[in-house]
Amino acid sequence: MRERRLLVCSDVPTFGRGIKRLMSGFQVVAADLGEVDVAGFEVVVWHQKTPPLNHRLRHLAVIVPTVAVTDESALIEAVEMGCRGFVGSHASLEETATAIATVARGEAYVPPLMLGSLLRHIVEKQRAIEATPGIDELTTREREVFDLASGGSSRADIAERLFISQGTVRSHLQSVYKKIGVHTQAELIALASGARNEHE
Amino acid sequence: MSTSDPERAPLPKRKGEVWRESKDEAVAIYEPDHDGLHLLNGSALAIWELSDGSTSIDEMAHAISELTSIDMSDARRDVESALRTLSDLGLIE
Repeated sequence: MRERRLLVCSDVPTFGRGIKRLMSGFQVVAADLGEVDVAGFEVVVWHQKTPPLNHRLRHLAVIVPTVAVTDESALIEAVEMGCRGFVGSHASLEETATAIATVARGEAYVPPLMLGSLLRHIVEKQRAIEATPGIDELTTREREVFDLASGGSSRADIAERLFISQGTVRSHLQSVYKKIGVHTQAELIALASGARNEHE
Repeated sequence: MSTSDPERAPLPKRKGEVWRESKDEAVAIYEPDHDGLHLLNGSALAIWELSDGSTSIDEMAHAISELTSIDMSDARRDVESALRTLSDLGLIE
């Protein structure tokens, strides 16, 4: 069986060594994002002071906060980015390894005791979006496109996720814009974000 | 709690005063009506926490589906199963 590849981006050398010791069955590479091609890895572990901004990390990252932010806000930020895994700043290496293995299987990992507050956040966000004027007029497919586009996904990302062409995505987006009353994806994102913030 | 008709089903609401203490990956919930103490894992605890009397089963399922990328129908089945368990334990109305 092909060995899975795991990229560890960490400010702390011992962290990478600890992960390497625990992750049998993975080829573990410790490097900065700029030094390697992310596409060659099944999972990226982000363990740095600043949050990852690289959208190529979506759906394959495990975030391990290192600084004194509240774990809950870091968790919500990570999930909003589309990251698939998160562990708290005080998580053990063993829990981090569990999160990595879970994400490598294509599943999501959230610390069990933080799941409730995260789901509450998602419920509140959905309620705010449902209050957006025109949202009821979207077809099922347009709504799927809306959900992805308002979350910041590119046209190519949306096409890949929904198994449709970029031209079809463009067509759906035009219809969504018209029904919602915006002209660009940036406006769509701002509108959805505004609805979320207003609700919060 | 009946979930056979989603339109008419009461919104699940966790019951009264509880006492909790984190223990590994589980939380102990005290249910005073029957003097019961129950250990809930993370998933069950999350559904219990969402059961505030104003959140529907569909909203819970949608949130889980969005987070985990599982089908909405599967998420709904999981939520209903968890709610049945919580109801049997006397932890939701």
